[in-house]
Amino acid sequence: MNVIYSSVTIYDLLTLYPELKDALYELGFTDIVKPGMISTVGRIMTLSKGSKLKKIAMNDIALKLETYGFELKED
Amino acid sequence: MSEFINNREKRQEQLKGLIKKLHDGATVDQVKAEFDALTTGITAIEITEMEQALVNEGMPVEEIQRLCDVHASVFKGSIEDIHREEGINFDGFDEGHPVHTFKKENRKIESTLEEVLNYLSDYTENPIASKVEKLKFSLIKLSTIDLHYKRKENLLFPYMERYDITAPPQVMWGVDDEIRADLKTLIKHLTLEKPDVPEVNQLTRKLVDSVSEMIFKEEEIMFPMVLEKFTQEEWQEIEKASAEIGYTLLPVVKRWLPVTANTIPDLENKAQEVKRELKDEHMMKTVTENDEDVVINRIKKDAQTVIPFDAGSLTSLEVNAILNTIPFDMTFVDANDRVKYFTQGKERIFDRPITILGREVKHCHPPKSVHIVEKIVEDLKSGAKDNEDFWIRMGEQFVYIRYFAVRSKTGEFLGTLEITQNIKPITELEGEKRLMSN
Repeated sequence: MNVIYSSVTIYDLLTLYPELKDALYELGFTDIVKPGMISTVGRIMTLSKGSKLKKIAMNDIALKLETYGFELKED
Repeated sequence: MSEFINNREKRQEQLKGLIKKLHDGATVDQVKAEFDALTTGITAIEITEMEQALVNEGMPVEEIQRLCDVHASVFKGSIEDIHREEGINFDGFDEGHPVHTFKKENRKIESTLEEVLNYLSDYTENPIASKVEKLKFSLIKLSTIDLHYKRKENLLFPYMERYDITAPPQVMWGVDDEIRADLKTLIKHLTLEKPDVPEVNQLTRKLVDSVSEMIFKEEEIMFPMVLEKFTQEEWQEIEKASAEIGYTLLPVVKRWLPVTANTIPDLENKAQEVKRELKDEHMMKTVTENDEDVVINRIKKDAQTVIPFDAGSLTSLEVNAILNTIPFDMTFVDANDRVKYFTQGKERIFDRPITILGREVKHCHPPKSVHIVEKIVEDLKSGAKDNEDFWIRMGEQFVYIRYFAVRSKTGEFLGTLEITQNIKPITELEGEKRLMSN
């Protein structure tokens, strides 16, 4: 299983694994489908920041990523 | 709950007494003990709130600042230490730096949100008129957040757009507007004869959440983003244009006196680098043309340049004065859809901060009205229309907004001219006036 750290930026994450875009959107990161947001806000937004901001439990993020074959590690 | 507020009022009165003593000549040492006794057991935030309340009552800030000296000596620290205790994280910014000011405002906004929630639970327990008034009052206080957002939208966003960061401003502006609308709705609801208590609760909590979320977005995302990109010079331009718009919940905002880019070779080089990177030549010209006062366009060098017109010629000094004298506001957007010029008459109907010069017109409008603006410009450009008018009531004014296509003699589209005027006095004219007034 590939490991993803909670401090990774959304931009880096989607650059490495573009297939996760739907997963993130489903979790509640709804801004990523707005054009221009990933390359700007996405370079600063991380999974942990997003969890705080959008009130998405880290557990839910971990579970979702697992279904895509990724392991979430908090750092 | 009520005795808590009573104690606060009592303490406030005592604070006032202390200030009067200082005013009448008592030394810091003489009042130190009293101040210490007064402030034992209350947080620094409360002290600030008390000071704020005194300011709101009209006490001059200089008097309050005397208190800061006592406060500092009691705490055995500097004013900065006090503020650090209050949770204002400086992060190495000088006071007066736009980000420092935005953050300071956010701390004040947060304590206002706390106040709102307190008054909300007071009101929910006992929904009488006086509780409604208290809640309404703190919400009205909160609505001055409009200025914080205005500075964000009119000062920070234009610079972000120059760096091609265009989506986040549009998204954020939309949310700012939602918050403004929610505040208005809530305050309006509280003026009803019988406000619905569960409704008030739901609306208030939603509002408090939205505002807190926005603070998070600003501090965790937007500020880091812009601090990475903007140059020292740009921050100075932003700071210069800030006082004109105004601040939220801050009685005093000191001017920023940083070491300027001109005196630090590294920063000056970076500023030059960015200027070179700016793709739009038009913008580069606007930035480099006036060395001393980049933001404020003064016609120093060209005061006597003569410009020929169809009938006669005028010096640029005359043109500027004439355009600022005519009784309406004009804004000119060039053929590339960028704001190029606007009149600076005594009182403008709609704000025009200098920082919008060079900005694409669609970015100057809240997301809701962008498509209307684009359609007008398109129709005027294509020749489908030469003019489009709107008229709206705004408080006491009856505002007539007209858009004209500006074309050269050969029919070439040069830009869009927007003319706004309060026509209420005109619509009220009756009869004739042939004689001079006294």
